[in-house]
Amino acid sequence: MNENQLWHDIDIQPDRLMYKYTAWVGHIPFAAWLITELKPKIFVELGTHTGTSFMAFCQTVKTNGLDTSCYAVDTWQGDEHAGFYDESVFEDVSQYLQGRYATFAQLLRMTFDEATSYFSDGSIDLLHIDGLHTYEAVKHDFETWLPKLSDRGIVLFHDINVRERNFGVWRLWEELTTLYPGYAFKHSHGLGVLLVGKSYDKNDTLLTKIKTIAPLCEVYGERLMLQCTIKMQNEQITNLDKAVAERDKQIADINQELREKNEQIAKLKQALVERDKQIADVNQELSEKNEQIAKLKQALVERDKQIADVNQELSEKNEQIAKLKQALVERDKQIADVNQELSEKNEQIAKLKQALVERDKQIADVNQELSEKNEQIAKLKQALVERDKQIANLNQAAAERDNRIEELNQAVAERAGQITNLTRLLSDREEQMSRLNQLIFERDRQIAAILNSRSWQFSKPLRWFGRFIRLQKFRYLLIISKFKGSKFGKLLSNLKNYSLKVEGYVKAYGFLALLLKVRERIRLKSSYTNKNSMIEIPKIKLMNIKDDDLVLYPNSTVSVIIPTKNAGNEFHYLLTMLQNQEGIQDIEIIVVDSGSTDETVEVAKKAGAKIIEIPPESFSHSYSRNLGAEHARGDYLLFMTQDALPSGNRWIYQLISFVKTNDVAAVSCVEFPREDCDLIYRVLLWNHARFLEVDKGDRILAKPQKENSVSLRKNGQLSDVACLIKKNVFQKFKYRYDYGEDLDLGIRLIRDNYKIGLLSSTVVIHSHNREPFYYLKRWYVETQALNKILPDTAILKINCEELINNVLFAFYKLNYLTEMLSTLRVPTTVRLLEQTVCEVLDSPNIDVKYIDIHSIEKNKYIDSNFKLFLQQIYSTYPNPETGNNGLIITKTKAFLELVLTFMNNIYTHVDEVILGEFISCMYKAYGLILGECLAYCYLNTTEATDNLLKNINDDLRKGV
Amino acid sequence: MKIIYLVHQFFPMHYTGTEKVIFNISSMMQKAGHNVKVLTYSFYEDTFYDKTIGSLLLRDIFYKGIPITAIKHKYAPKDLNISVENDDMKQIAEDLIIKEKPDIIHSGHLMRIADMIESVRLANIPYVITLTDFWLICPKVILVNSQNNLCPGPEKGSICNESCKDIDNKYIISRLRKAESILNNAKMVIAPSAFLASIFQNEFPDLNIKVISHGLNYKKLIKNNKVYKKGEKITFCYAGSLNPHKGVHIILNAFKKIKNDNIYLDIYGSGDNEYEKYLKNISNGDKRIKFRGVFTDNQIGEVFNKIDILIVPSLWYETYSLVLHEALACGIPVFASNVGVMKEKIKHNINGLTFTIGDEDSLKRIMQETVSNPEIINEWKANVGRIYIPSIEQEAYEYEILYKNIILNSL
Repeated sequence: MNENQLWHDIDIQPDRLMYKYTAWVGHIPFAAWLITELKPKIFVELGTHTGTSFMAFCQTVKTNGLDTSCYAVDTWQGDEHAGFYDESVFEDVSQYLQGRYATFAQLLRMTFDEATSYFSDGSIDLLHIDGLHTYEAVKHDFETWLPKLSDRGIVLFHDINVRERNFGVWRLWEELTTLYPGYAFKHSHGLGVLLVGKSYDKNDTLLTKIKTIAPLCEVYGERLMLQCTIKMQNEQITNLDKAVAERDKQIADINQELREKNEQIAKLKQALVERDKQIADVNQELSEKNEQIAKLKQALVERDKQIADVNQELSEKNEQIAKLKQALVERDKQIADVNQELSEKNEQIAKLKQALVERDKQIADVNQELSEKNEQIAKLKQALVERDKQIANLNQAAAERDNRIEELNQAVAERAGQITNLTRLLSDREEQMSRLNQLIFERDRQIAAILNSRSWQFSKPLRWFGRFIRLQKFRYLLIISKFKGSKFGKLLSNLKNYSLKVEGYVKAYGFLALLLKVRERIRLKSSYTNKNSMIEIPKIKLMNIKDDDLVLYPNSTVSVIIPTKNAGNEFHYLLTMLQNQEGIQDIEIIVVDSGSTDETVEVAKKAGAKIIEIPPESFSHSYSRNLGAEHARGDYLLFMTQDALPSGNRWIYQLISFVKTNDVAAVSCVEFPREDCDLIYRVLLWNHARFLEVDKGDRILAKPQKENSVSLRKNGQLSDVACLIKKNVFQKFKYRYDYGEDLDLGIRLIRDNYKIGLLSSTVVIHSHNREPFYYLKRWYVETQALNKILPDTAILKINCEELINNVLFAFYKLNYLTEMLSTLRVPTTVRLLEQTVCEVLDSPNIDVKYIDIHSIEKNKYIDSNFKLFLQQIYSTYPNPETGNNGLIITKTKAFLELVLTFMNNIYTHVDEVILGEFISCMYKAYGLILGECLAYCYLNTTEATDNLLKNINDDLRKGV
Repeated sequence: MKIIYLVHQFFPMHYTGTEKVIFNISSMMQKAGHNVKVLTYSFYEDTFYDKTIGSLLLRDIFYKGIPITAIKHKYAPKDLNISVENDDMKQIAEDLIIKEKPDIIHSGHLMRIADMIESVRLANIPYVITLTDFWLICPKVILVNSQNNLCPGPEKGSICNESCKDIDNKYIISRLRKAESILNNAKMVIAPSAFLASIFQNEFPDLNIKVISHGLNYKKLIKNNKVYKKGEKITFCYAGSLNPHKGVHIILNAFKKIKNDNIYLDIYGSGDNEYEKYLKNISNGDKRIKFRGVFTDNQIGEVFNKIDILIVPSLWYETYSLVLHEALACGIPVFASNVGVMKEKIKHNINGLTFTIGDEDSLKRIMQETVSNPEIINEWKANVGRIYIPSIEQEAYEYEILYKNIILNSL
């Protein structure tokens, strides 16, 4: 045999490879080689089962074209070693065989023993024993079939390497190998190859071949085993894959179910929540309904009660009706009687009417006679009138002649008078001149005497000392600047300021005034608050009179006296308020009108006031009030101005209460501003209230211990904007002067040991909004009046010419300041306002463009009267002094600083409205200060020598 | 004194009723020498404001010398005009009020800003409240219910529950409770009329309410002294906003039914556009009726000098009615509905006549009677002339005394 053939057979790829039954697979390559090598005529297999070994043999036979008949003997029922099995195995094997190897192979389904009869002895070349593997069975099979084997017969024993489960083939093999040559494969449960044929001896070439190829067969056999294993495992894998796929599908299905179940759960939960809410709502409705029911039940009970009451009333009413019906019957009877009387009376009337007609006829006749007589009388009267007229004409002519004669006589007398005056003046002047000349001579002598005198020589050092002092002053200032900031430096600068103040005072008021002031200071502790002069009362609680506190005082009738002139459209309201005052017994209103041209008098008449009319020329503040007082019948007199208003409808009661409970003779109160009050008036009110110290509480004023202008002014306050005074007291004093009459009265009262009250716990509503010229006039008049009433008021020494020079310069400076203020961005702060004011008013110069006479006309903050006044000044003094701040600006600045202090308390910021008010206030302040300074000028000149001043004086006093 | 005023809207954007009252008082206080400031809610464009604190926009402005801080929400809550609680307002009170250290707070209206009062109370700053309408007890402000009938008052919310079901009753009850606490903690509550005081007193029996009438500016009023003879022509007048609850249509309908050429009707005012159109429709064709537009405060004297009778036909109680008082102060008799403040101030056949509220025939009857007998007006005018109506200075002075008392007592 060539090696290729050898290889080919062994490398058999069995067609029937059943990986479940692999017991024989490892021997298939050997089987293929053996049968090809041996080329048996008959091959018999005992124990085929699934036919792995048999089909391998058959396949080799077919493939190699061997001439072998193959027989498989098996019952195909199984045994204890192969396991028992059903028909399907046989059918499968049979079908497989039929399809392939039917030409040479057969299945013999019988027992081994039965099959022996189908074979003659020595016919079988190859026998494979693979039945029941007990020792006895195999031995029996071997012994039974041994005779059937031929000379070259080989017997294959399977499972010679199995030593379990009662397998005994190994024992037989061990015995038989001692008898015959053989080879044993150990793998695949072992296969014994026994050469039982007589032709074989121990060293047969076949045996040698077998031994040679045995390892190869083993290897290939193992390969086939592996193939089976792989196949089996592959099948397992596909099975597992299938199972996994199935499981996945199951999982997916379950997940889906899970999702659906979750959705259901969510829906059910929601439904649950809704149900809960519904339940809550329903419960609430229930409770509410219960409340309602309770309420209705209550109402029902009440209604029942009402019904019972009503029924009772009903029965009462029925009784009344019965009574009334009775009364009705009686009345009817009365009516019948009366009607009868009526008819009798009517007859009488008819008779009388007849008599009347006759009388009328008589009267007509008499009247005619009368008219004829009247005509005669008229004619005679006419003649009389004409005569009278003639007489009057002649009388007038005579009178005119007499007048002429008188005038001429008067003129003659005047001339004579003038001549004597002038001659007298002339002689006076001459006398004065000679006297003055003498004085001059004397003075010259005196001066020479002084200069030559001893004292002058001796006082040289004093004079030197004076110069020295002045030098030291200068050095002093240097020292101060060196110590600036330290305490010592502060002390030094305070000393300096004080001495400057003294110097200034002397310059302004004179050395004599300084001495007087020093004397005062020594006498008094302080010059502004003299606590001993005012009887302090504990702070009175604010008047807040409740209804049940209204005590009607006996003897408390009030006569209100109001001087009027064109009081305007609010006057009726003042009268209404006065008539609506509560808490007083009786009120009468007396209006003293001095020539009103509007409806003041009608309104007063309509309100039931008593009217006294006086011609405008006879008006003065004291005269009109005194006149009103004469006509008053009240216990109290209340003097008011026409533009004042009570603060409420218990105002007069509050004033009277104060008088009654505090034993004062008169009382006045502070002012509360009106809606259109301007800024300057508010500042003046506030400042005055501070001066009078009435902002701290109500005051009772009385004669001060030391009388001077300040203490008198403070304690004599009795403003007649609203002044309540006992009539009997007033009649002892009455008003006097045409200005400042109220202060004068106050001072006279306290000097005569009366006390007067000044209230801040109640107010009178009053304020002004006047134009700047008014303030000029008013302060001009007031300053002079104060001087008259309080003669020791210090008078500023003002040089008239200097002042007049300064008027226009001050005006231009204010214009400049106005422009600067208008450029401020609003809203701005009061501080910035203050800074601007100080900067502008402190700097001594102004831009030339502001010095312009036309700016007077263009200024929109001053009234036309003021403009006229300024233009008059200009025509007299056309070149205003420049580069010098002057008294007016200094005083105006001081006043504006007061205004700014006031504003600081009220405003955090200033908008354009307030800024406008401030600028307006500036010009009014200017007018005020100008008026004051002019008054001082006037007071400083003992003779009215200056014509301009005289004219001004007359103009300014008008109409205040 | 330093006084801060709280109000729900103010000049220059809003200029009627409560705003006028607070302006008058604060302006007079400033004139009397006190430091005042107004805090108000406002409705300017968002860009108008220049400061933001929290979620509020603010801006400081001036109006005729009065410093004002105008406030607005960045995002206004839906119940802005009804709510009595708002955290933003509570917070902002720290910055705007407490830091200024005022002596007293005076509120003219608490709509939109009510919760500022809470912070004020916690800081122990005294405050007073002037009531100018029913807002504190009625979210609809005018006590007219959903069926357009007059409401007697909330009675702790039970009446609201029956008549105004469109508002949640629990909300109303809690709102009433808050209003009660605000009012109880005020040092003084002031109402301009006894009627308004009585409505609040009914609801809160323990509350102490003082009556201070609103003042008028007498400088602007001119007395009408006309004398009436038989056959005199009569001019009736309505002056006020043109809104349905003012009842202007009642006058027009009544007037049209009177056939007389010697009478005229002047309508002054503006308001709801639709309602104005409706009124002009009603009066179409009647040459005696004239719509004259609006007039300023300075023209009041002029206007009232041209008319004879003022008609106030309001379909609600009214809480003071400035125009009614201005007319009386100018000597003009008034015809008014017979409810509320109008009933308090107008006595039938004394200073005018009253008619059944909302009843055109009732009004027509009294107008007719007056026209056929004009001399009766002389009698009414004589009575009107005797009535005392305070001026704005007197009102302000009463408040000044009130402030001083409260500050003294809390020291």
